[in-house]
Amino acid sequence: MTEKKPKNIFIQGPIASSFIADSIQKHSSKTDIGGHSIFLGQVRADIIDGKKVSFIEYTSYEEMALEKMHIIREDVFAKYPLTCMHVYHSLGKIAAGEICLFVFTSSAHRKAAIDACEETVERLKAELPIWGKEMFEDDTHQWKENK
Amino acid sequence: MQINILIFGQLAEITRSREVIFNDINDTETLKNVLQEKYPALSELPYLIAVDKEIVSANTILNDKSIVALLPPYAGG
Repeated sequence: MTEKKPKNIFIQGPIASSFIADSIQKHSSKTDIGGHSIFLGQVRADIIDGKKVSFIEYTSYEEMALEKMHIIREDVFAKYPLTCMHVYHSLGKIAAGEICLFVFTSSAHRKAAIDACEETVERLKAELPIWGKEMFEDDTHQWKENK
Repeated sequence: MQINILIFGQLAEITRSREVIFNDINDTETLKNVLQEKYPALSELPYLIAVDKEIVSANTILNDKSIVALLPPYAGG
């Protein structure tokens, strides 16, 4: 038995809106799809103690993250009647206002696509070993923590 | 026996390295004690230990092929 190699989800730098548009376009040939659900994570310019976040530098334990993402993907496919799922997460420096996460689920009907998208986002935030260093405008930093 | 430990996020600011090597560590409890001794500041930060990409909470026996990692709280998305 051959084990399928987990799909890569990481992209160096921000996720371009053109990449997202192309990804949507590629589904036009899959005419059994009736609904897509998309979640986009954007870097927020939080103000913490009077200092503004200018960018987040993301790092990951990539091998572990890809294995965990593979499990999430299999669980979500087992639970919902999905046609497909695509997940991309940025690594490196992502400026405030740029996109760092792109989750895209498709199904015959909206409910499965919407629920699967939400569950995937919640699980990946809780289960993937990814870290974000929030860099302030004055070059100091703090480490982001998911709530 | 030599164990390589991968260090991530803010923990690497304390160890000043993304990888440290320890000798004669047979299990994760011993590892915690050695880390504590060498890097006292680590005790002030929350982190989990992964062995072969699985988080372990109970004491876990290590061998020379174990891949050990120290994981601070996740912040993906």
